[in-house]
Amino acid sequence: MLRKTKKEVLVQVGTKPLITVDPSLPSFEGHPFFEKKASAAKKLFARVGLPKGIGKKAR
Amino acid sequence: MFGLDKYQYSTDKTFMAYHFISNGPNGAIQKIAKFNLIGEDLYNFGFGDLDAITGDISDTVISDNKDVDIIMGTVGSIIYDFTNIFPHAMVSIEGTNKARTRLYQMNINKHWDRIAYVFDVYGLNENESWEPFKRGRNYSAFLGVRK
Repeated sequence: MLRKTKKEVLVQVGTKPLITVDPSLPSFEGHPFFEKKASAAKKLFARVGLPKGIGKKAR
Repeated sequence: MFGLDKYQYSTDKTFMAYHFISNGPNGAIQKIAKFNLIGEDLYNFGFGDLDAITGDISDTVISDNKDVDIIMGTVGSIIYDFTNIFPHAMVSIEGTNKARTRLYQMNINKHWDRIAYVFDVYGLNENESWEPFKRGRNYSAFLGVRK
């Protein structure tokens, strides 16, 4: 008889992976590092816009 | 997602910030990834190393923890999870420098078949125009949306 490995008996339930929520993890909202990144990205999109058609597609 | 090696990660209550720990020869390094809303359904994705003492986050430190593939697999999985929760999200990624942008591009190239199955990806070309991502082209920024 074939012996099943541990990997073989793992079963994925559903189609979407579960995400572990850590209530103690801060949101880092307003953190200067991410604010700087977001500001640069806003400037970029103000200059170049979105790819044609993507906005409609996304919504 | 994508069947790649990845670190376990957790998210905050808003599903905007994600935390994981890189483990390698230089020890355990805390990583924070975050999506910032910058327009209608438009999010900027950034991530970096967290200094737990000062609270500073940096993406210019070269940690050299020999686990870049696992980190990239984790980042891909985080973006996939985020877009499961926010399926209309358009996620933009821009490297902090050319080397970092190149790293993102190499990883998109490497796993393109899997990525293209679930995401439409656009690259910002040298003319500052978005075009559907093509392997082998150089881009300065990326934008992805779920198919």
